[in-house]
Amino acid sequence: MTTVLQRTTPPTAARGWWAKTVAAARYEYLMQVRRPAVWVVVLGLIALRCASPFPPGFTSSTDLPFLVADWAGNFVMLCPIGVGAVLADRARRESRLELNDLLASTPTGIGPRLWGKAIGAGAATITPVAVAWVGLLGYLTARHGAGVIPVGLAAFAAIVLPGLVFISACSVTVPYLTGPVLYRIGVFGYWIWGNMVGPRFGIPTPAGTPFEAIGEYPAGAWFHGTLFDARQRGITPTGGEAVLSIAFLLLMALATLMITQLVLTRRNPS
Amino acid sequence: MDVNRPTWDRLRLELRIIGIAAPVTALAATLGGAILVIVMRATGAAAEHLDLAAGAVLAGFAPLGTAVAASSIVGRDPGAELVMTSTVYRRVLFLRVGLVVVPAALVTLVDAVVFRALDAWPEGQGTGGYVLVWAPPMLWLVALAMLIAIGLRSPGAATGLIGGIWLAQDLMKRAVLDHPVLRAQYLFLGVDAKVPAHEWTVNRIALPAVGVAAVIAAGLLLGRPERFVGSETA
Repeated sequence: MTTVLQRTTPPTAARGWWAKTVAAARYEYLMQVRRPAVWVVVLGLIALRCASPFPPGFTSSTDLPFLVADWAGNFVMLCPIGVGAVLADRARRESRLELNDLLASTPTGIGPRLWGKAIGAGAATITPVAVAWVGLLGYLTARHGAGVIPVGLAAFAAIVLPGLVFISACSVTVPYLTGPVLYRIGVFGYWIWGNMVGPRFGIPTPAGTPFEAIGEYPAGAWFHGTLFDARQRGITPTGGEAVLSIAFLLLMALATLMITQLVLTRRNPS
Repeated sequence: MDVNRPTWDRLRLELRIIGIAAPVTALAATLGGAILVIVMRATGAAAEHLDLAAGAVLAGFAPLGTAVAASSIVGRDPGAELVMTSTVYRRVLFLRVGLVVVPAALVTLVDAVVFRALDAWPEGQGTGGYVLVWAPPMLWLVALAMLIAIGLRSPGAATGLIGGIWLAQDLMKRAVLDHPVLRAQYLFLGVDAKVPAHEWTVNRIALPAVGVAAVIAAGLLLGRPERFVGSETA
């Protein structure tokens, strides 16, 4: 009996901030990755865009960096809307299920729960994108050889991932303020305005600057990818601007989470 | 109060259950768009930009906002089984959708009248455009959003997919217009794409036809309301 009751790991209360965050992230990941809606929406939007890839004709290119960069551009054109939409209901989930009091009585504080939610649910929602990307790399490897794999992994990390991390961080934090319904229409509006409405429309927009989230700068600077809004501004991105673009998105994601943690901690001081 | 009759008390109760977010989202898209067009007119925007903006609000943003708002009401009943013991759940859900969609549709109609009075009007649209520019896309988007939300038990999935399809129609306009079946389902025909009159007529009939089919399919799915009992949205 004593053996049965003996713990193999210390109780949660005795473990550090990081261990609690990892535990929360693991649970959030498993919850989110098992939702059929996550897979249907994210894969559906990728398939929709890739049914008629843009720009026409790039798929026959043998320049591997250009090829994978433009495929990455197609991947990231629609799917962030889906990522934001299916993550938006995570923020107020505990409150909706009336679990806040119960969770507040556990030794895992607000911080680990919030960061665990962002890391776990975010990673789970990006999982279908990664799976589809691996599938595409398999297809491209069969056509062009194994040289596609390192370029493809680099393109995923530089072009696709930063924007999705940024959208994921916003989607598990902003709905605390707006609720999921307004957030979903907001993220849709942001994605069009901030990434697709180029300067030719005469509306002030980050599209075509390093502060857009669609990965045009890393694609253009490091992979010779096709430029859209940046070209309208007469810009050919440099490596430094690509680094700035990625750093901006990751820092904004970090700031969003830190501010939300601060606000939630002040609201629930226990 | 008879829960099976749409009395005023019943409508007020359902409005309280729906909450503020869904009607605000539906009205924000159409009212926000109207403000944008009025500001553009007041600041002397070019006539073609004004016409395009009016068309985008009527055929694009108002229907999309309404569809997102309507789909958000699915899965909001923590005690759905109690509702089902006293009334038909399908009727309840459709009544709630109506409470979100009808005000948004009326405001969009007012938008159309105001836009035409301001001479911000999609080129080639006659008086029929007061309704035909926005009503078929709105029915199509709302119906498909409801079907997805009910089928997957997920308003998030409905918003993501409907938003993606809406945007894809714009991004992939050339490919959509080149295909006769897809052209009949193009939401922005007559606003950002000029076609012969008979093709416009086909499009304006095909959109509501698909919408009605989606409503019927959603109604059939709601014939098994136990799917909504005791579980979170998927």
